[in-house]
Amino acid sequence: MAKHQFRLYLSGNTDENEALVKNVQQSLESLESLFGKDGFDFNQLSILEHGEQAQFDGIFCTPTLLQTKPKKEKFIGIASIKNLKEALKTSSSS
Amino acid sequence: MSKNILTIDDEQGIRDVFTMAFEDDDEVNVFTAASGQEGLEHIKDQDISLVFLDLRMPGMNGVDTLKAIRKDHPDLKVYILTAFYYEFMTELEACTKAGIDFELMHKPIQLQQLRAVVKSVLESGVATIS
Repeated sequence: MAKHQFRLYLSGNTDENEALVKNVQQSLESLESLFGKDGFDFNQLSILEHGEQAQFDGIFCTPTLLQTKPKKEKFIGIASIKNLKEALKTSSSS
Repeated sequence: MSKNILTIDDEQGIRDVFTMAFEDDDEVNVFTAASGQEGLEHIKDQDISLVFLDLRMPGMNGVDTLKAIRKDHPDLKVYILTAFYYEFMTELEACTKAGIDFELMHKPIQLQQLRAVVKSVLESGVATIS
């Protein structure tokens, strides 16, 4: 199984966004068993600094968690970590 | 119970998109404003749950309007409507450096994307888009 890759697009480096990064990272770590032995990569990008990359990735709002591998999917409305975990589980099993 | 959203944009066409997007939705009421000042009056008078704010407007622009909103409403969710071009982003960097929170939504707007964003914010749900 290919390594899962996630990219979190944010509106900038605010306290609120820093907290969101931590929560998303912890959510992914808690779901690590879903991603197989290769695990996952996770990084974050500010659209203020990476607007062209965001457009290339089809991002239309913040915050968006983009999964680029093994399949491309966007998760929006990720402030609810509980719901994000559910969405990741559903995506992983489909 | 229905919730109120507000779009502040000097372009009539953009305001119409918001109105059309939710005209058959009993759970979302759309208020529109053609200027920052008009938008602030709506926020004062109505129980607004979510704001979409154009970055570039004549008179009071998006950044000035955002700063005015934050004075009395630090937790109100505000999406700045803008193309993701570098020259637009630099205008917003000063806000983040000043600790002013906002989210971004890409312009031009597509109806389905708009509905997904509004629903996810108002219902604290996650939308998955392939």
